[in-house]
Order: sequence, then C-alpha cells, then structure tokens
Amino acid sequence: MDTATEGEKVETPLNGEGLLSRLDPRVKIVLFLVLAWTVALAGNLLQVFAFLPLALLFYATAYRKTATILKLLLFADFFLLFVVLTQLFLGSPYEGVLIFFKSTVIVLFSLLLLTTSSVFDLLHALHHLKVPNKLLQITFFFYRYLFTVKDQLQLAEKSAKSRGFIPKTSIQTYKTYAYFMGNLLLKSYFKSENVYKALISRGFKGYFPVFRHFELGKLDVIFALFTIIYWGVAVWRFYL
Amino acid sequence: MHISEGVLPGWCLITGWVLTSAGLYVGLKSINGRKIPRTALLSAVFFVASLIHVPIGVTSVHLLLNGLAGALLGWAVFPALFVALLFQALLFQFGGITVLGVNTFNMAFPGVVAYYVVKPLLKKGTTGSLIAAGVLAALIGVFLAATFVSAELMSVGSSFTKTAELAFLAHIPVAAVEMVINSFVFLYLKKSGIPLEV
Repeated sequence: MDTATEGEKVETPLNGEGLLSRLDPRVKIVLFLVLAWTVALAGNLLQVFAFLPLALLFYATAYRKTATILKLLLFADFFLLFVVLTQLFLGSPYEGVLIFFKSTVIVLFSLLLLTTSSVFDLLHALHHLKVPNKLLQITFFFYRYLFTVKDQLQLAEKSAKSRGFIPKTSIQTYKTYAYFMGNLLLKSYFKSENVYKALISRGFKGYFPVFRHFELGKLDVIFALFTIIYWGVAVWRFYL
Repeated sequence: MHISEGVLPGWCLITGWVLTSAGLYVGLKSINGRKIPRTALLSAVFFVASLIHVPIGVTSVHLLLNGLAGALLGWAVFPALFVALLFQALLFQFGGITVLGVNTFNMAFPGVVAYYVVKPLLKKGTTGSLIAAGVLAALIGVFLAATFVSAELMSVGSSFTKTAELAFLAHIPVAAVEMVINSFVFLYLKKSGIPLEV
C-alpha cells in the first residue's frame, strides 16, 4: 500500500507577490534572459552597478517579502560564498566583489521576474516560447511527483529511525541509504508505468489542456518598453 | 557542486549551453512514450536523494549521483539532470539560469561516459561486476564532474587557482561515499528484478 501522502504543493518563492506577478510570464522570461545575460557578460563593477537600480526597483514591488529575498540571496548559495571567500583571502578581492554583485543582481532579476509566477505558468510560458514539448512534459511530471517521492523518502527515514537507525560513518549506514534509494527507484519505476497507462487511457497526446490563456495587456507592453529602454541606455552608456 | 551565477566568463557560459543543447537533443530523441514519465520520476528520485546528508567523519556530504543516473538512464540523463537543476535554480536559487548549460553538462556528460563504461558490467550481472560497476560509476561521475568544475574555474583567471583546487578536493569524500552507495544500489536493483538499464 502506498502510504505516502500525495505531494504537498510547493511553489516558486515569490509566487503571486507584488505588481510583477500580474505580468505575462512570457514577457518576464524574455526580459529576464536579456537582463541576466547582459549582467553575466559584465566585465567590471560599473557595468554591474548600471543594472542595480533596476533590480532594486523590481525588488520594491515585492518589499513585503524582504526576509525571503534576503534569505535566498545570502544563505542559499554555498558555492557563491565559497568562491567569494576564497577570492577575498586567496585570490583577487576585486574578482570576489565583482562576482558577489553580479550574482546578487542576476538572482534578484530571477527572483522578481521568474519566481513571481507559478511553476505551472512558467512552464506554460516556456511552451509558447517554443521550448521542446518533450522536455516540458518531463519538467511537468517531475514537478508533479517531486513531493510524492520526497514524502516516500521521509517515510522510509522515519521508519528506519523508529527501528533504531542512527546515521554514522559505517557501511551499515551507507547500505541503508543505498536501499532507500534503490527502493525509491523501484517505486518510481512502477509509478511511472501507472502514470503512463493513466495518460494513455485518457487519450493524452502530449499536450495539457489549459484553462487560462495568456493575454498580452497594456501593463505588459509598458513594462517591456520601460525595461528595454533602461537596458538600451545602460548598455549604450556602460558597455559600448 | 554547481557553479553560481556571475562566476564564469561569457564564452564558458555559451559553450556550456551549446554542449548541453546537443546533449538534450540526443537525450530527448532517445526517449518516447513510457520513457517520458519514467525519466521524470527517476529524475525526481535523484533530486531528492541528492538532498540527503550522508555522514562521513565529522561532517556530512550531499551526493551527486550523476554516475548512477547515467548508468540507469543513458543519454536521457541530460534531460533528467537539466530538469532537476532547473528546479534547483527556480525554487532555491542554487546555480542559476545562465549557468544552467554549464552545470548540466558538468553533471550529465560524466553520466553518459559512466553509462558506456559500466554497461557491459551491468549486463554481466554477477555480484563482483555489479560492485565494480558501482565503483566505476562513482569514480567517473564525481571525478569527471570535479575536473570540469575546476577547469572552468581556472578559465576565469589565475586568481582562481586556489578556488579550483579546493573545489576539486571537496569532491574526494563524495566519491568515496558514492562508490559504496552505488554498489549497494546496483545489488538491490538486481535483487528486485527491474532492468538495470531503464
């Protein structure tokens, strides 16, 4: 019997927050890509700082979520911390500072432009942006069953713990974890068979019918124009 | 270990996206019908399993599991890991979108290499060959990924030599733990009778 609860809902960190969440995700994804790549290609601090006011302006629309944003900016990424610290103490401090600001600005854009839409809306928008359908199907099923799989793992851990399992550096511990994984692989393998049969029996042709369609509104056009003009001026003044 | 936004130079990010796109093309071509939900669910398993803290000595490590994923999925490891990394970037802001190409390639390509190396061993199916497959999948998966990450960091500039060295060294305990875990996973799957190449 499958005792795991059906996946709890997990969403993007700023879903539905602020003005930007009301915009068309297609517009936001395209603008995000333009902005993120421009900042990623920056070669000095001035070029990065040119986009900081825009990132802060976006942030102002979701200021009520400051705690979440700060937590994601500062603590989420150990690799960034590792790179910045090794650069400050063992390499070039300027590089460390440059990387820190580049990453901060890009992550702010990502948080406020991408994660203000729901996962489903983002995937729907990617479909309109011509991302291969097969890849989107995998992404959708992954998202749908991620938390079912996570619940199964937590259940296995709880059951092992209740039988006196204490993780330590030993072959027994590694074997237990390996069997957890083996069991998850096995369950998911069979679950995927059932998912496939369910899809076939409902006449699935590779597309999910959607109830809500995107419509490009006045607000989307104004926002896109404003951002592109800002981008153009910043690139002209600081990049060329 | 995935590289963050803003670290790598532009040419490196673009090369990563080109190579990953090629990998995705081959990977997506190799899956159809029932393999689509299967790849997605196994990808979810690898995502969840890589969040486990596995104790080693006084610390604990997260596993990469790219060798294991490659051995089981073949070229489909590209879309599987791409999706997992995309969600890490969206939900937790680990890694990122501009570096998604590089990060996917770093993880998935060693998986594909592991697939071709361990395939005959898995086919043989004796206890010894399954243990050898587990060890090889871990060594190839982790060390090839570590080599890519370090080489990419070195490409940023000479100030990154120490950063790259430390990044490589951090992968050694992961490889050690994964060798043991992979071997047990293969033995478990063999016992349970599902095909080792899904």
